[in-house]
Amino acid sequence: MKRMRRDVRSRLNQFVSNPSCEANVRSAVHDIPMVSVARVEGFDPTVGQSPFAIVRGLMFERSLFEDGATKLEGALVKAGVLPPGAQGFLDLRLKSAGGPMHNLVDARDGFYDFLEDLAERDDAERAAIPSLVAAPAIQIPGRSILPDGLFAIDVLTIHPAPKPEPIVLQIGEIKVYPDRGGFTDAQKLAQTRAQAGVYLYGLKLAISKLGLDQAIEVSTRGFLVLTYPGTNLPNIRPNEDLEWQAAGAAQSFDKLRAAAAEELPLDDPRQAAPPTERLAYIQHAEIHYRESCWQFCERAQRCHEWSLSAGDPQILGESVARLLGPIRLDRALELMDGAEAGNDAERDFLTRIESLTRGEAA
Amino acid sequence: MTTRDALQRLRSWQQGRPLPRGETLPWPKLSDEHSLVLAFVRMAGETLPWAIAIGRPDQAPSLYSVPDPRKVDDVIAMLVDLGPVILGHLHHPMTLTQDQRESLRSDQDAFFSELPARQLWLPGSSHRAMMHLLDYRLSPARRADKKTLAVINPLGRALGWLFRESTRPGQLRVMTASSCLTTVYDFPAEDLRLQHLGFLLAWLQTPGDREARRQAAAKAEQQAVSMTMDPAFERESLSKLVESYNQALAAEAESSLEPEQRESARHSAAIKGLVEDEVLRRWRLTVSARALLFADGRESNAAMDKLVKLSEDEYRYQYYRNERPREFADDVKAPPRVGPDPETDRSPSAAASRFFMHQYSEDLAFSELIHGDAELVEIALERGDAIRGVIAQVLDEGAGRASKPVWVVVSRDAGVLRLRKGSGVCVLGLRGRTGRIRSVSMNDDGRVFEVVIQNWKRARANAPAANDEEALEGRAVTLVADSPAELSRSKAAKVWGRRTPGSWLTHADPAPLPDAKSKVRRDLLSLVKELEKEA
Repeated sequence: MKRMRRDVRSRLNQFVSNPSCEANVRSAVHDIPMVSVARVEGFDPTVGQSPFAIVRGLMFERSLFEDGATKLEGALVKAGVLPPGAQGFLDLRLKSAGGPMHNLVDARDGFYDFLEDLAERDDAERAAIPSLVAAPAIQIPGRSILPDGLFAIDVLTIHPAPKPEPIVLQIGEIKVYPDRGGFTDAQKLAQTRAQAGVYLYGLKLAISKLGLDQAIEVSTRGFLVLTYPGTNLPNIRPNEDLEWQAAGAAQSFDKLRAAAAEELPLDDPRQAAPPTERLAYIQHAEIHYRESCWQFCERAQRCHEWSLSAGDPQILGESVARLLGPIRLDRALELMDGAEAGNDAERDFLTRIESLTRGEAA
Repeated sequence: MTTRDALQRLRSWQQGRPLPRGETLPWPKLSDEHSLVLAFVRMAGETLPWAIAIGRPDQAPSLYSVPDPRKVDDVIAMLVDLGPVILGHLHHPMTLTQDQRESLRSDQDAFFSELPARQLWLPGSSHRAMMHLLDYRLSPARRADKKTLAVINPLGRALGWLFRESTRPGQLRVMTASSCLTTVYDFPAEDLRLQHLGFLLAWLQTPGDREARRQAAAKAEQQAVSMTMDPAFERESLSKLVESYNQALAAEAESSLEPEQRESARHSAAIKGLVEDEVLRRWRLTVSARALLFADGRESNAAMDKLVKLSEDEYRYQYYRNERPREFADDVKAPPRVGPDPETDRSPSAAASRFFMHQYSEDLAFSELIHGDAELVEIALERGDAIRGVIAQVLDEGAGRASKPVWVVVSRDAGVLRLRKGSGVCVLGLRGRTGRIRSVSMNDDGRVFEVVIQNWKRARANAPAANDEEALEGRAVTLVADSPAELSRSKAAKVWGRRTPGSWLTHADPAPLPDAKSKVRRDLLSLVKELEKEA
């Protein structure tokens, strides 16, 4: 398996954070870390997760799957994701995560064998299907994500039904942030759902490639496994509608394919940074700066400066960008200082500010 | 964000500095004596604090920390120390003097009327979230000694109430510094970055031009201000220390050395220095924000009295009533001291009631504060919740001694209008003079409103009688939406009743849990044979 600087899952998460930005897409597809690009451009962003957060995440996941995943299974039954009496657990986690698999290729092969076996089973045998699969690995077909497109979903639940009904799979995302009901971090939830949508779409593609989509269906409803605040207990959010996120992923995957089709000089991940030519490939890409870039992209400051010098009103947020439309920031200031409007957009802008100003003067 | 807000942001960019929003502050300025500033830091991934700073803004804060917040017993011990500070801030019964207890026992109204108002200041929204997380952990705790539980249970409930109160529109008790600044200033930056307190203060306090402020803000932004510390800081400075501490602790299990002489004590001191520095920085930024807000020249909105009263009522009935000792119960049966669940209302009626109270709070804040701040009027006009015009005609359609003043108001404004026939309105600056719009039409002069004045018809100290055509005709007037705040308040009470609309939903018995699915037996022959055998 070809070495990578970052695993496919991290790169997919990066991609889904801003699929409109060509630089971001290229960075995700070709495994060119944005931090290397930012540094070459003279910025020095801090990167990486806290080791405490990493350990916490690993410990939480391990605790869910201990003793044949009893803790997680119990929580899923309680939440109504699995029916009472559901049992059976297929562990496809890597050894580093506490499972039996040596690498993602083995995990993928194990999962695909399982799926093919599922499709063959008759009704009596379907009753004995394990209800839970940990870390099923899939490969996104085609050259969407170089070089191998292999990544693991956190967890799947299996919902058999008598033939000719298909066996239904539900995707689950495991996160360590606390579930505080209506006060749970909305941005994190949105990001988690977006990621789950991408995996859902990837799983559908993989099943279709295996020719099993008559016998196996991937539900557009998934579930989230968060933590109960202050504990290591899982809190399940069932019935998450991921249809829209999966549809968005399907549209965005075309961008992935287009970027993946481009040939680049090779990289040796053992070197500290990718070669200059690969970095230049990102530097010459168009950017699509948004304020949400600050949450995930190490190059956000560079793109912000760029947008500022280009007069992009996005540097003042989405609302100002909507107000100005195609009008550049410096031109907006000229109009506010009394310059005459030169087109319909500028006239509309002046009309709107005049009506507000008139009210203030009254 | 409205067009006006977007435009104000553009103007602030144009001028190169944050611009004040509003002529007044929508909260009272309480003295240092009655204010408390609180900040947390946590270990990434954890939901309990690593260090806490708390204190009056005019004094050095008390600092609390533990070497490893994953050792829950240590954190609980830290919180036991913190408890009296928070509980004292809220005048919890266990912190009262003997005289105060006597007053609470004998005359509750007098007791509450004498309690000074208090404010709790926090750096940002993540610190508010920590209060909620502590409610989850502490309020239901049962596995500890009685002395510990006697502190951490009420502390959890107190923090939980403070968190819930902070979400109520128009509340005056919990001041999140970053939100306070963005409420009263328009900043030339994206919304996401406006959550960073250091970023905001740099924009406000840096001298020079826009570029100087922008650079300073970008630099300030690189230092974390949320309760989560910089991952690089945890990675490079803290993780090794924590690991060494735990290793030393394990090796010292049988040690005969004094605790302060042990290796673990050395690592613990180093960790303490680092995390307490971090939390202190956040605490100081909050104090700076508060000082800046107090010093910017604007006074508190003069029309806040009803909001203050509502805040007092929420404190008394949503928090204190749950904490009052049983022996202080009056003729109302004292509720069990369990307190609301941090996770859920547990009852549809409770959830509905709180929803209506939040609605009431929001409506009240709008309808009261507008009378004390001209800029809020402009915002209402832009939204279509107010009319600015001239009283073209004053009629009195009353019969006999009864007066029924009707104003014909003409307005040239052509923007959005949400007021319509039947809407309640209030005269700006005269909160008691309310009326209802009878008709809306257009003529060459603009929009024409017929408004029937229903309350405060007589002359007041600062206003002629509502039917005084000589004094009123030709006079400019602004009418603001008189939102039916009291309607929401009344719904909040009625929703508990079993015979009110919607009770079929709020008072319904929960549906029974579904039966476990039985196995489907498709082979009928073998099933029959089995049944025969059993028979």
